[in-house]
Amino acid sequence: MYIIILYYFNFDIIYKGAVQGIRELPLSLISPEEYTTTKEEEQRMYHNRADGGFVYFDDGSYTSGAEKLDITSSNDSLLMTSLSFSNRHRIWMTVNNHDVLQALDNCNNEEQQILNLKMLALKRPFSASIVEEYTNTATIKLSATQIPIVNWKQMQRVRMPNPTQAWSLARAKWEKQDERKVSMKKMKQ
Amino acid sequence: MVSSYPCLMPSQLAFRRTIIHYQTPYNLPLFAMILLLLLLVPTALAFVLPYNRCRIPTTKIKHDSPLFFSSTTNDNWKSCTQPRFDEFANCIVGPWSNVKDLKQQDEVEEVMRSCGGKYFLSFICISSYYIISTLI
Repeated sequence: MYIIILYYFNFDIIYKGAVQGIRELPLSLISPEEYTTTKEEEQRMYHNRADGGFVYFDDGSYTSGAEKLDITSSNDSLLMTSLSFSNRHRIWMTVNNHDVLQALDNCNNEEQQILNLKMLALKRPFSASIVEEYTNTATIKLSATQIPIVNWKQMQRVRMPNPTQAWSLARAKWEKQDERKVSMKKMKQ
Repeated sequence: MVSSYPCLMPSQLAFRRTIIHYQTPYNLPLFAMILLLLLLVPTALAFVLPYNRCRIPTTKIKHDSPLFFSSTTNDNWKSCTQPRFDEFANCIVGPWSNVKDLKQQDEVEEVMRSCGGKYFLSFICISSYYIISTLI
């Protein structure tokens, strides 16, 4: 019986493939002054789905960073996020953890600008297969220097069922708020 | 004494005296005050003492770290399915180009990393040996 159970687990691992992840675009694209552009030495971020600091969404948006932001540590790792839009566009942003913590420290329940935020507007290149679909969709004008005004249609949150539990994305509870309620709130603001 | 109650009969007078006699030790305002104190003091102590020392049960929960979404209301949240990595990968994996400079183009790649696969063959060998040996 013991052997059969072990077999099941091994087959399960092989059937599911493995731990999946994505390798982002080279960092030299978003910050050419900081990162090298040679093909051999280009630096890319690898986002592993098993990493607790990497949270992804069905539309292709994601955020990746440290699980805990510690104000006392001098950690200079990157906080990275990508916002996807319906017309094959996305906005890719990176910022140092240190700059985020500084902004959090200065804000008193008010909006606080994050310094040294790197941003890049990206779009899917034209290809024969998607050109018809692409021309039919309404395009939004994205500037590479300005953060666009985003109309949030639905709020979604993820948290552990119990606040005392340690963070684990696989065990986290996903919740969404009614679309109508969010737009009403937006209108009131 | 009699002159003070001219209309009362001697028996009535005796009754009156007993009433007066028994009323003296039962000082009603004082009795009520003591009762009130007995009720109020434990209640007041329950609020003053730390919650783990008083007998009144409490539902206080201490949070060591700030809560996410503390500014949003807790109502109207409905459980939903967690995002699927396949869906996410379909949307992000592939070529992307810079909006400002279309020549700057690169690709987001999907990476698969095997998890325990390298031990699979050795596992098959060992487990098949045990199975065969038990069958024989």
